[in-house]
Amino acid sequence: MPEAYVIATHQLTKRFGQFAAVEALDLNVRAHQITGFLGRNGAGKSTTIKMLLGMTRPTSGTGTLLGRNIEDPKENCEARSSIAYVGEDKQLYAYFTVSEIIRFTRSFYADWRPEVAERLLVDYELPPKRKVRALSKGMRTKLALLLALSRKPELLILDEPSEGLDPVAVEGLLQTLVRAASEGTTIFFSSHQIAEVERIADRVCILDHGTLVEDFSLDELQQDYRRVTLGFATNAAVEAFRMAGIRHIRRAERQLSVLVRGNADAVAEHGRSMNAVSVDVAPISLREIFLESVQSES
Amino acid sequence: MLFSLNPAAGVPVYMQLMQQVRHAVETGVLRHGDQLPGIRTLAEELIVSHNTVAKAYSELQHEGLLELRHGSGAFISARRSSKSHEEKLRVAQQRVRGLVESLQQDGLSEEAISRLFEAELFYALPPREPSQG
Amino acid sequence: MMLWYKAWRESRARFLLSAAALTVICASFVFFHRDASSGISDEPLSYAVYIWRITYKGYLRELFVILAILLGLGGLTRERDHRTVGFTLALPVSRWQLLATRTLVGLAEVGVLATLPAIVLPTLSPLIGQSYPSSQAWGFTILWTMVGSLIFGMGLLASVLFTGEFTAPVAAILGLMGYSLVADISPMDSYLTDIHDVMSGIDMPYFTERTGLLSWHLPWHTLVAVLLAAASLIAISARITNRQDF
Repeated sequence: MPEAYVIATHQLTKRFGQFAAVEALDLNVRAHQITGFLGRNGAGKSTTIKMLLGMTRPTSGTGTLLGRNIEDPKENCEARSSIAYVGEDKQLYAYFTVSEIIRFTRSFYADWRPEVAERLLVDYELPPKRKVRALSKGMRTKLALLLALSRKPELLILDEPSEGLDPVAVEGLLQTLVRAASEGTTIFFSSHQIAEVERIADRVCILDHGTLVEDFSLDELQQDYRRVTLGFATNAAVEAFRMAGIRHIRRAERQLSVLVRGNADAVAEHGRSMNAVSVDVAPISLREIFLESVQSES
Repeated sequence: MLFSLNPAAGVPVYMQLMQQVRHAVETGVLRHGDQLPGIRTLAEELIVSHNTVAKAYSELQHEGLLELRHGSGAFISARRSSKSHEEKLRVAQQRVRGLVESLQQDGLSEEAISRLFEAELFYALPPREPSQG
Repeated sequence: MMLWYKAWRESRARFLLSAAALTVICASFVFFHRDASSGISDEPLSYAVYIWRITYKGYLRELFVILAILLGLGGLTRERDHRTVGFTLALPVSRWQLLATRTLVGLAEVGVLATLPAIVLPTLSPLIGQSYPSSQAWGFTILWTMVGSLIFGMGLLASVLFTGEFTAPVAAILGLMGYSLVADISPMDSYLTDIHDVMSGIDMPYFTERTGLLSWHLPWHTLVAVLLAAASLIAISARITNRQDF
């Protein structure tokens, strides 16, 4: 089956003067999945999303969004009618009331679902007659989410959707996302909350210094990635571990910590053959792989 | 049925789901004809991707443990589950309990015991892979 | 449809305040005719000359110019400061549409502001036993609407070029003052017409300062040129907007 990508970029680059916010990015996001987009602050996540949505022009490189060229304003505009987006700012027009901004937004989209909007309005406890400027930060975030989640878009792009929400609201949000995905919406979301990503995502892309450093499915992570910790009676030799699948090795005197993908058994075996006095194979969490992949770069 | 999932367990979540259904069938918590929630419902309840539930269900269907009927949900079809298997499990559980108790008497912590078990399972046995559909 | 509403809501407060200010000022110039008249001239002025001096040439014109600039402000640069630009640009509408609705709403508002004196002055003058001919007032409305579009265009361009709540209006006002200075110094006098003079009719063949009355031979060529200049400022703003990063 040919892979269907809702987002595909090729060597996408954005420079601000000397600084490259996004550098030769090849990003592919599969349809009908939930993809988490991770990276440190300033890694280029928001810039990438802004380029995809036509808000910022790429310095070089190409990209498609729902099969449409992102650099063609007309095609991009077409794509946007099937996309819901919640940006990192989550600010809305201060002069509108809650129900006005809902009426405003729904007028642009054919896929608006009034019954969902009604339900979310109640769930999120948003006062319809209140002006946006008088809403608290959390309420504003909920309103921005409501405007995106009340639709049935092909693609939902969220930039840090849970920022500023309390744990109960986060739980509700994740549930809504899972539901939207099961109804056929592809979800692409960035987050600093690795635990959230780990719970609901099918795939994870990790961005660092504007480049893609990891792209894997969570099943792969859970099944294939292991940390093998080896203890030796004499000083450990890192050089002895040049094996397939090894991502990273850390050494602390007589101990070696080997991050390995898909080849843990062989590494453990090799360790034993080198007279390791202790061999410990442990699964690795998304948090660990994230920290490992963004720190080894710097 | 109640599931308990741990995304950091080193086992894909869909496999955890499968194992828990299998285990429930083996212990008799789930019986032939019992209904499991639909993919969407379960995904929402557990707050995991529907793809995860769908994958677990389809693997279980391949194993013949689950029957997916269009529109009406998922049903356990546990013809192969038998008294003897339940019995075997009960015996196994007793043996494990005995072993754990004696290790504890030797002064090993729970954590150490658990680590030993896990380590053995990781590379003393060939990993049990599900059949890829 | 909703884009029009958005453009209207974003400029509504500015516009209503402007309209109220112009109306009140026009009305007070009418009602305080006697006092104000002796204040601006020692000699007795005819009512038409008084009205022209104090409104079409005077304070009201200065106020109108500033209001036209203010109505040109706003838009995506301002939305960036208010951090709503992401939401707006994610809508399935083009930047061109956004700018076009904002421009048309703004121009309509400029037109209404230019029309207000033509309604207020002839309506209120009879209350103090004077009369001001409607045809005169409408003549100035036409001049003000056209020139107002150009000034609006300057505000629009400034709003596209400059961020910051105060930078854009200051830049537009400075630009306009600079233009006036250049247009009024003698070597440039014959090439550039000061649009302020076009609005008032000062030294223009279609206006007689002694009577304070316009003839209906309005400077159509100049007005077309003014409109073309306004259109090019708007087009430049649109081009810049389309290339901007937000």
